[in-house]
Amino acid sequence: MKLTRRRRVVSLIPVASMADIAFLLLIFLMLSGFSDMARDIPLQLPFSSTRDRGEGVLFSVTLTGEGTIYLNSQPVSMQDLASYATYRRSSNPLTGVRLAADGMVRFELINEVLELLKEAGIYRILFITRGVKDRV
Amino acid sequence: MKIRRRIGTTAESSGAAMSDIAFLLIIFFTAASAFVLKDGLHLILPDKSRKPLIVRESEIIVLRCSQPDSVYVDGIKSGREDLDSRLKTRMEKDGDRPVLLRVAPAIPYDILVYLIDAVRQAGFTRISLRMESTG
Repeated sequence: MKLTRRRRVVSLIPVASMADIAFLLLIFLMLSGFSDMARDIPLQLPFSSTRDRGEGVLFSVTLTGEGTIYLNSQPVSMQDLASYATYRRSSNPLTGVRLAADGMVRFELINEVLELLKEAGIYRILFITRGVKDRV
Repeated sequence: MKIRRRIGTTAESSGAAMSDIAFLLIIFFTAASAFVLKDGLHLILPDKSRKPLIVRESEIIVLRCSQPDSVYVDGIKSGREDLDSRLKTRMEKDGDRPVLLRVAPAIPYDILVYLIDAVRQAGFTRISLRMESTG
């Protein structure tokens, strides 16, 4: 008598590569998620009750109370900012600026930065503020 | 005859939990990246390549701020308390008119944001910024 072994067919999806995909996503989020944060720049942002959510391609300009200008967390001069703004505008005409400034910054400096950005062809500005509800 | 089956032992660590840990970290970084500041006052500067819009002086509302604690609305001094009500009254009376903010160079940025916020809260959508010249 010929005995045949029954082979059970097991339907399984191999999940061994899921960890690899997960780690790749993790590295991507780590590199992209924190790149826009201006860390270690002390600011007292002003409050506003009307706030919009910034959309589109934005780069960060930070103005401290001492008058220092930071471009994506790096201190720069006005000329460097102008060059960078022109470069970004040439690659994407719809580029905007996320402007975070200390509450004590003089309007004179704000106006100078706005004129510089307008000259470079950047017209979308987002003044970063804190919500009135966040006021302690 | 007793046949003993050899049970082979392998020295391997289970990697089954690694994907769980990876996904938990992904969720953490996804949530943390949402804390990047993105909210504020959105302004669109006038395009320098276009012709400037000419508006009659009588059709605009002028807010002048030369001192941090004094704001003049069309020449009438207003404090912070009644600025909102004065602007809302103008909005109800005249509708959405262009608002010209004339601000002195030394005015702090938080005062500027307060003025823009007050104008937007009243419902005005067209705001023009101008720095007052000194002297």
